[in-house]
Formats: sequence, structure tokens, C-alpha cells
Amino acid sequence: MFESLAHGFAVALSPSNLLFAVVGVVLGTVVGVLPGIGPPTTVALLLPLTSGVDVTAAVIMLAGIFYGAMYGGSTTSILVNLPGEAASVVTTYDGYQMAQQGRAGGALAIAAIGSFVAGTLGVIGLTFLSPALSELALRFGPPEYFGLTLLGLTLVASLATGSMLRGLLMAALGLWLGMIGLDPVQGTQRFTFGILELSDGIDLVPITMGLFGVGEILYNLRQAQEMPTVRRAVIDWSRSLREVIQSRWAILRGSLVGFFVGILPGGGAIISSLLAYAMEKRLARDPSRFGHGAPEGVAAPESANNAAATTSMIPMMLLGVPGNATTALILAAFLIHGVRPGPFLLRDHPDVFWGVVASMYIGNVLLIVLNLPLVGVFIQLLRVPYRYLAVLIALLTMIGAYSINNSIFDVWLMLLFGGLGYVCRVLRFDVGPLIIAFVLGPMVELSLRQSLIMSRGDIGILFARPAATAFVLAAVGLLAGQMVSSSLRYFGGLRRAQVG
Amino acid sequence: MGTTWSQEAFPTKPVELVIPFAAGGSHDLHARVIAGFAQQYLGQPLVVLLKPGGGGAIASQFVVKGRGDGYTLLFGSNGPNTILPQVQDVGYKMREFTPVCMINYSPPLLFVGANAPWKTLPEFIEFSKANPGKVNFAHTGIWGAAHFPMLIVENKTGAKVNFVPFDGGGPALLAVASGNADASFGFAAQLLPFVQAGRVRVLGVAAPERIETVRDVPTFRELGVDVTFTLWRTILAPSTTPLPRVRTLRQACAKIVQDPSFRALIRQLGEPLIYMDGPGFLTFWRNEWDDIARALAAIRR
Repeated sequence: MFESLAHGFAVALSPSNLLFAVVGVVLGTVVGVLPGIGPPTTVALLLPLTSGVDVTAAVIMLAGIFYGAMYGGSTTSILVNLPGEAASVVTTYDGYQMAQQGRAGGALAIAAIGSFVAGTLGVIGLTFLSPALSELALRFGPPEYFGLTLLGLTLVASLATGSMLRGLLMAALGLWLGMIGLDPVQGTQRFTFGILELSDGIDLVPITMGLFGVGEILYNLRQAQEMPTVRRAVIDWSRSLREVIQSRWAILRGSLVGFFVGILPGGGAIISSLLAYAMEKRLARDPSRFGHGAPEGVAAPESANNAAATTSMIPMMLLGVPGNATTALILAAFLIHGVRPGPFLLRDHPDVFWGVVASMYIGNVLLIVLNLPLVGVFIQLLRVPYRYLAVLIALLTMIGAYSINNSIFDVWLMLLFGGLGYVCRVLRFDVGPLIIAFVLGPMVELSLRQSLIMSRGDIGILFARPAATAFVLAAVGLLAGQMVSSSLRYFGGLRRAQVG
Repeated sequence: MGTTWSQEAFPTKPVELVIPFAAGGSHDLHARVIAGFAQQYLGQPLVVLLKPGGGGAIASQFVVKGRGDGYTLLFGSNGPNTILPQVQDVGYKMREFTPVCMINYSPPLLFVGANAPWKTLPEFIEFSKANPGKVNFAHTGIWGAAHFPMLIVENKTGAKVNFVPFDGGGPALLAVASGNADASFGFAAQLLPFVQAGRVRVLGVAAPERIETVRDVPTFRELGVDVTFTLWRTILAPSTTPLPRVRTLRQACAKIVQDPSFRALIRQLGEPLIYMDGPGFLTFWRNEWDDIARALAAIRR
């Protein structure tokens, strides 16, 4: 094992491979920071260019873009309340609050350090547990997916910062939006109104960019006078350090959650950031701090999505089955070079596998060295007058929406969601639960229907396997607990009202 | 170009090849290989443009509604161009396209889990006839390459399976390999490592003849089940394109496929080159269209 890894380092540290790693992580940071332009778009653009270099160098660079983007993704979430990619939606809750309170530096530092710790732990896991983990991914069938995604959906409730009812209403809207497109079982159109562009469902990017980015801009335009933009663009280093230390357990727990959830195909990074956030909120002595600038609320999801990005390389490399759009493109890079990822990659191409794994250790070190000093640069962004920043953000989100399918339809869709986002801001509806429900809803539906088809309608299949049972029971227990505690609060309030 | 009487200069600017599917898929990768040789044989670059959505209908519509000047071509397939127009109102028909050339096709292979009791295709079919709906059959979407051929098998043999939808070929393969489903259709390139690792077993291929990558796998026809399904990759021009321009494109394609390094690169992607020229493909396509029309009529009955 150590011998293979040492050999991997020899491969990854060759000057040209090192250069590709640097290029990859720098590009990754940039596309992570830019809202709307995500790693899939970038990797798709660069893929044809990699046919001239050898396979290890190509994958080192493309993987660098992928996990590097997870570092940058939090930056705009924190600074301007616009998630750089979907896995950073949860980070907006406490990250943006911290920035509003003049603690943007601390939030960015926590995100960078959390990402580094999680990324490195993820690669260590990749080194020692890859074959075992790929076996785990293989075992995870529809009933297990249903349990996990149901648990995720019940946790949406704990995201809600204000009124629970409003949060649930938004989640319901998200579930409905997630149903648009083809019915996965019957193949019939649902809510598409004959619009061909809707038949594959709505993409996450126009929804996220619209609700957060455009919605925020429209909301800020309401104020007649110039926004107070300079929200203390200095860093209080000692306070930031204290906040980092305060979040150490959140970082470790987040890494662990991301590590396991990342192995599962489909939305691993998003689910893991939500799970990690909800877990921190539940474990916290004072959960009411969350949503008002709790450092753990940045640390947990950012660590989770980084660890998840790292481990999502495992099913792609060792099963040949990518779990998301970016790893699908990295798989394509392997294929172009005549290397087929799958159960025999480790045996047939140990150089490639260990070279890539070793480069991820190096890449994470490069990223922390790059990103910590950048904190000072990024917070200067807050000095840019909002009238310029708003135009830039609007432009980037439109490019981002267009680039997913090369379709202007998605741009209109994004602007439409921008309008909805504005209305939500004005009426104080939180758009976070909508997005999470939009992502999880279709997964819950598909996995439940798959399970029931597999068992020919017998609901017992959900309780026939230990992991599935555990997830479902946890979800039900959580929901019951929430109902009991909120009804206790309600009746307690009634009694007090009668007494008083 | 060449010996044609046409003296019109074509192409004088880059030609766009529109891909109806997502980035990184097999159509995208094949197109990028073709693009790498276009400058040399066509005299102009070939630009790959991804327009996924609607099962390929969005890209097909885009090309049909385009100018028809030979500068916008579709990298078509049987999903969007043979099946969809017959099951859904997509606004384009077969006759609105003129084939330039077919690069190759991928036929789906029927595979079962390593622990499944069936060793041969007839055994599998006998079982699903005797136990209707007992076999959990993973597929990747209604009318897709893992669903449609099985519908035809059911229709021709009287077998009956329990279709379970999965979100793509990868998850369907994992489901069969782990025993969450019993059987599915998949493509050779992705299946081979799992076959070698002893996790799945291939029973037959739904191709007109055996394919080079898996010589030992018999075709359905050999085993007495008359079902073929070929996920083809063909460059299509709108039929409004002037004939001399179509001819120029066809000649360029005929030269590209002679290039040994082109053949080697295509092979790396999983399937060998199976070239058909424009008129040859048109005959093939018409037969396929009629076959599928008949199959659909039978299924709907």
C-alpha cells in the first residue's frame, strides 16, 4: 500500500504532472468562485485539449478542477449570498450572516481550512479503503437510497430559520418543481405543457442562480440609495482563529458525513452538506445560533462537500460508474486515452490510479496555500460598489444558465426564478428548503417507486435490509420528535396564555 | 473537393456538428474524435455543439429548423431519430434528414447477475415465460436502449419481465451486479470489466451480427430470437441541404474512415468502426424504421 502510494507520489511529483495539478486546482478555484460556471462546464471545455497529454496528467488536471471548485464554491455564498455551486447552498445560511456582521474573513478562512482537512481526510480514505468503499457503493440499492434521501428530506425542516410553516411551503414548491419532466416509470410528461425543453426537467443551475443571485439583486435594487457596501473589509485574525478552533469538531464530523455520502452516485455533495449542517444544528448546545452566523454552520457543509467530492472519485475509477456530471467527464478523459476505469483499474493501471491519488494530496496542499491568502483578496470584493457588482453577478449567472445546455430557454427560466426569488425575499420566505427539496424530491420518488416495483408492491422491502431500515426509522423518529416538541411548545404556550 | 462537377467552394467556414446528448457520453466522444480529423479531410474545422434535452429531440429540431446549408449537421441516433418521432409528437420526421455517413453502432447486450440461474438466453426466456413478471429487469428509461429491445423480446417470445427504471446505464449495471435487479441490457465497453471480474454474465447481443469486441457472445438471431437494436451514430444533414454539399460531406467522411489512426481512436471508445455511406445507411434506416413501426404496433396491441 505505502509502496504503491510512494510510487504514486513519484508519478505525481514529476514536473509536468505537478504543473497539471497546479493548473487544475487554480482553474478549479476560479470556476468555483464564479457563480454559474461550474466544474462540469469547465471540464467539458478542456476535455478535448487533454487528448495530447498522457492519461495521468489529464486526469490529475481535471480532478484538480473538480475538487478545487469545492474550495472556491463557498466564496460567493459567503460574500454575496450566491452559491458558487449547488453543494454550497447550505453555506449561505451562516456564511452570509457572518459576512453581514463583518466576519467574512473568518467565514472564508473556516471554509478553506475545513475544505483542506476534509479533502485530505478524504484522500487518506481513498488510499486505504477504496476497494471496500466501492463494494459499499455497489450494495447500496433503491431501498437504501430511499431511506437516505427521505432522511435528508425530513432534515429540510431543520434548515428553516424563520417560520416552520413557510419553510415547509417552500419545500412543497420545490418538490413540485422537481416533478416537472418525464415520469420515471411511465415515461409520460408531467407539468411540461408541451414545452420540449421541460421534458428533461429543470436544471438545478437556473433555479439556484435565479432564486439566490438574481433574486438578491432585484431585492437590493429596491433600496433607492446606494447599498452600504463596505462591510468592514478587514480580517480580525485572532477572532477568525478562535472561530476555526471552535469549528474543529464540526469540520471532522462534516468530513466523515461527506466521506460516506460522497461514495453514493447522484447528488452526494449536496446531500452530505445538508446532512452535516443539520447534524451540527442538532448537536449544538444552542441551535438558535445557526442561521445567524455560527462558524460551525460554515465549517460542516464546506467540509462535507469537499470530502464528498473526493470520495465520489471512487465509484468512477473503481466501478466505472460516475455519480455526477463532472466525474462522468473525467471518466470520458480516461476513455479517450484508452484506459477503462472499472474493477481492474488498480490491477491494470496502478500508475494512473496511484498517481491521481497522490496528486490529490498535493492538490489539497496547493489549494490551502492558494486559498488562505486569497481570503484577504476576496473580502476586498466587498469594497466594490454594489452597482458594479450587481451587473457582474447578473452577467455571470446568465452565462452560467446558458452554458448548461447551450440554450437560451434556461436563461429565461433563470430570470423567471429571479422574479420568484425576489418575491420570496420581500415576503420573507426562505428559498433554501425549496432547492433542497427540488434536489431530493426526485431521488425519493425514484428510489421509492424502484423499491416497490422490485418487491411488486410490498412495502416490507424498506424494512428487509438493515441500512434501509435504520435510515427510514431515523427519518420517522426525527419527524415524530419534531412534531412532539413543537406541539408541546404550542400547548405549553396555550397554557401560559391561559394562566397569564 | 475531389472529382465532383460542383465548383462551388464548400465549406468556407467551420461546420457545426450538433450532439443530441450530454457532454462526456459516447456520442460526444465519437464526435470529438471526428472533429480531430475534419480539418485535414474537409478543409474546415468541425465544431462540436452540445444541445442535450428532450431525449435528443431538441437538437434534432434545431438542425431541421436550421438553414439547411450544410453547415449545421446532427450526430443522430435511433433514439431521437427513429423511435421518438414514432412515439411522441416531436415535430420532425425521417424524411427531413439526409444521411451523410454512419460511423458505427453499439448493440445492447443482455446480461444477468453472476449468481443468476440462467446460463443461456433460451433459459432466460423460458423462465420469464413460465414465471411472468418474476424477473426484475433494470432499464434506463421508457423507449430507451435497455427497455425497447426487451419490449420486442417480450412481444416475440411471450416472455414477461418486471421493468425497474434506473437513472442511467451505470446504476442499472450496478443493480444487476449487486443482485438488486436480475437482468438488463448494457453496452460492451462498460460491461466487459464486470464480466471479467465475474460479476455479471452476458447471454446475447441484439445485433445483426456478432461484434468484434465480444466475439464469443451469440446474437439473438442465432439463438432463435429475431430481435436487433443498434444504437447508431450517424451524421445527418437536413434534407433541404443542396446535394453537391451533401456529396462533399460524404466524400470527406469516406476519407476520414480510411485513416488508420481514426479507426484506432474510435475503437478505443468501445466499438469498432462500422462505416456505412449515405445511401447505404438510408436503406438500413428505412428497414429499421419499418421494423420499429411494426414492433410498436404489436406492443400497443
